[in-house]
Amino acid sequence: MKNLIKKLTACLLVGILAAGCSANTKKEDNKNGGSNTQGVTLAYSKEAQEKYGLPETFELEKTPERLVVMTLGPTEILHNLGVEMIAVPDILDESSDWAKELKAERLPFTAKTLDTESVLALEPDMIIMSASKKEAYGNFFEEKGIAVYYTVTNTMDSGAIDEVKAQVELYGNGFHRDAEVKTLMSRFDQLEADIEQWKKDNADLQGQKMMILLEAPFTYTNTSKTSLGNMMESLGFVNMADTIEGLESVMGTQTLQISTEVIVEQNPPMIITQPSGAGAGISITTETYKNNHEKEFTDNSAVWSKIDAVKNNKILYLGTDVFPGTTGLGIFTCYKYLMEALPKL
Amino acid sequence: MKGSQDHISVLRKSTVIITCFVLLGILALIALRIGSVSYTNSQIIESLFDTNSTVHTVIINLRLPRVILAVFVGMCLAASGTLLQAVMQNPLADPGIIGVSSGASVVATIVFLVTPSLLGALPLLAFVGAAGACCLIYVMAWKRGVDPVRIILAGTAINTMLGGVSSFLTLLNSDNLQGVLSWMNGSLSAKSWSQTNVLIIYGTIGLVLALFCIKAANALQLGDDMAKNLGLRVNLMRVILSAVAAFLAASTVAVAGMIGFVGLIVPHIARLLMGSNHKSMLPGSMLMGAIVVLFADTVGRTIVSPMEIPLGIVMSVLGGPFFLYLLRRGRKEC
Repeated sequence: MKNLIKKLTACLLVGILAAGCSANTKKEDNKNGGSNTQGVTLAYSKEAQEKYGLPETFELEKTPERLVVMTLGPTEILHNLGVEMIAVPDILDESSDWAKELKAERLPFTAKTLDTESVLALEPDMIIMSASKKEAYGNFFEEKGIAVYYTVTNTMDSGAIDEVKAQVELYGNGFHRDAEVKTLMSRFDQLEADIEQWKKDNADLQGQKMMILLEAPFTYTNTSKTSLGNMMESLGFVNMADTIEGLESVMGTQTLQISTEVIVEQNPPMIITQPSGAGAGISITTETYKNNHEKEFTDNSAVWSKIDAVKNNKILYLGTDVFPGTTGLGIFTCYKYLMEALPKL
Repeated sequence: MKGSQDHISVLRKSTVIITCFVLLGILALIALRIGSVSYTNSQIIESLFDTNSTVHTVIINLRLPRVILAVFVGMCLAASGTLLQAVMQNPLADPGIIGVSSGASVVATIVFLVTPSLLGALPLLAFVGAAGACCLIYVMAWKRGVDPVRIILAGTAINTMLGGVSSFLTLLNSDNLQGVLSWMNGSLSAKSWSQTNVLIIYGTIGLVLALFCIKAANALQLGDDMAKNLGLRVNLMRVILSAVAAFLAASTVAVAGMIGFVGLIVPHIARLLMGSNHKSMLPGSMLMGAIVVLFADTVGRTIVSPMEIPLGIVMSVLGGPFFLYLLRRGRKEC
């Protein structure tokens, strides 16, 4: 009798334990939205499929509970969509509000070499990484049974806003965050309306010629097919680099090398300048950036004083404190700054 | 018979020097004439008197300082290579091999990536780095005097070590590489009078010092024993010549970045045309170095205009095969 009671008690305890574990699992599943049976479906572009041999879609049966994001682009988007991440790149702008809310561990994912042990130690069930690292690291993680989704930097055929909207829809629909997608889309609608209103209010700036030059002594220029170039075009400005004879894209890049002679000959009336590496982790205040340029303009005044933009002080300096790079949802901050600063130039 | 051979020899050397001067002059005029933007001869002549015109800015404030800079870079690197080959009695001696360029490169990388506020003092800091590397090589190579083979071996080791340091720094700061990369490729792009004036000062000092080293270089070339018999303090002169060579190379590296092959191949060309006497070979090297660098820079900035190929890349593409040709020619003559 006593033995029977002991056995029944043991079974009851095991049963309660099993029920408790099941309940906890269900609670954790709900963290990333919905039950874990919804899974994740993310599409690959035709370009990604051709260049990297990727399939049409990436599919995961269960919603990931331990998502590691190793590239900066999707990080803010995923955070705004309410998708939880356990580790993100350490090159976030930590002064931004969203970065302060983000609880994920910061790791040096964007360095040239990656400590795979530290990633494995996180026990991720899904990784988002750049397709350029597929051969070096992506295949390694896939062999370890970790699902990997690869991000591909596409050439900008549509506008900067459309590119970011496409990213929001891709991740939002993929992770089944419909409500959040709707909220973000309404922000984009408002932004586009604000841009149209701004263009009407600043009709005198429409058609204004300008050049986007990267960091003095200005050996690189951005065409309208870059994020910043597209933003300036959407605000009604004319990019002189688009029509310089012989200035052509090499291997798809739209940040083109340019000779100082050509800049002097073109004599831009307005220059927009941002540091090299902006949007990829570099941090420099507008004031420091401006001071560096003023030193260059003073040291080589014989050249720079002949350019109208320098003579008339029509240079817009885009330090990372005011213009965080145009990766992802930073585009709202970037447009806000441009629309405030350009009329004052 | 001997007198007529000397006479021919002097005639040949004079011819080579005069030809180099003429060639350099013609090349300089061509370099001023052509570029990313095309102007007619009359526009160029008019611009000399119209200081407000764009043509004047391009010709006088962009192309002219660049031409002068290319000339000085070529002269300094060629002189540096000539002295090093005499000191080390090794035809492979080059500023890059003994670690001078690497020392300057490490300091410049640190300044670009970590302390950009010190960019204004970059030439001086790079020279300190280069001189430091040179001192380190001599400390490592010193063993009751300095042996040419030990210097090369020590230089190679330092070169490799400092190259690793530069690579490590760029790995840590891979998002901010643009300025460093354009410098490390060796380029005269976007250089103007402020950079040119710096090299004119440092370069002139170095070149004058190099000319004072001719006698010692000739003596060292005969071997240590012969040099000692001629009354030369071999180790001291070796250190002095190396220091002058390092100064010349560091001056150019600080302003124009890493440019290879000039110090290696130009002395060989000069030796082929003018013989081994440094009295004619050193000035000949300087002139030929100027021609080679000016030609390479002009090609680099015009061949894919309005874009530019950095000088360091053009020198690597032209210099590598030419050096192989010299090696094969040397083997055939043996």
